[in-house]
Amino acid sequence: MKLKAGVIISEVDGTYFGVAAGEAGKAFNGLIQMNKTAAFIAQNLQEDTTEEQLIAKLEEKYLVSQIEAQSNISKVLAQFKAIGLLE
Amino acid sequence: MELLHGIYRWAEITVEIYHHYPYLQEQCRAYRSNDKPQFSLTLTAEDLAQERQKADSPNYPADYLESLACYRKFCELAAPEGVLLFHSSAILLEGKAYLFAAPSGTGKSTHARLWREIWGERAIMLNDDKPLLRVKPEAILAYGSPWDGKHHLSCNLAAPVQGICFLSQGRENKIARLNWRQALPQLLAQIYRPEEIAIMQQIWQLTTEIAKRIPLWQLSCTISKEAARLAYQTMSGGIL
Repeated sequence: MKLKAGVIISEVDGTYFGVAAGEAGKAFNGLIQMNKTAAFIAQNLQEDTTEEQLIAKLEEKYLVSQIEAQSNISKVLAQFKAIGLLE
Repeated sequence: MELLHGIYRWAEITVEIYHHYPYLQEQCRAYRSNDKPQFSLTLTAEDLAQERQKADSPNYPADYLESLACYRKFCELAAPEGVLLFHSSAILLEGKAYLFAAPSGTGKSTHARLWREIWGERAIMLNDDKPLLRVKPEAILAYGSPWDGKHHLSCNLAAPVQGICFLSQGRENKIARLNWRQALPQLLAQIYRPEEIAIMQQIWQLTTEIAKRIPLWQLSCTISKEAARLAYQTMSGGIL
């Protein structure tokens, strides 16, 4: 799974935002505000990946437990799915 | 069909346009330029077909679609120059531009008309629908353009932006300052969004800069001169 092409993730003064253009822009034209963890997950979803790979990356990056990583990822995936940005 | 040709200058960008229909020439008359063009745009049958797909009505005539396509293509080449289209009603008063934005039908043109009723000829409509903004190191400027809404109110002038005010209808008149994070979703919603990712990145960067540098306001108001006076007094003083 991955995000549709065209999700632009950027940090502005400590806040993370997502906007969409291209294919992603056809599905979503709002503004996503994210925390650092969600932005990290979103960045990793720019390339094709699996939930297991995401969990491993999050555990490594933030030294969180597998359960915590899984819970974070599920939430972020559900949100991206809800706004139509997940391929 | 032989192509028509004209050189125009919008937001300090000079562009030559090759196109098919005289409507565009007529519309852009006040923006003709004798400068050497920095860019060249050719409006093709394919551009028109794409515009027809995007249009909110299937019945627009070809010359109107050509005009829409022209502004779209211009905005896409203008983004790297620091220029974007901000859907709003832009009023010029005392050398400063006051911008009112809201979802269509909220009454931003009506609010702008009240400014003209209060200040008469001193309040000039820069553009009643789709002004251009240019982000410069020293200032952010608003520019007139001939894509100016159903009442065709605009002029070929520019002024530094004094403030951006988001309008909503209310039972009483209240104005409050917004911080840039609060205002970003509303700001972005009224900015022209290109399909191309690289251009959207530039537009997004310009949008955040505008949000951080320009005072942003939320005005909940009735349709009244009191609302217009409140907006002016607050925005011109820059204080609450």
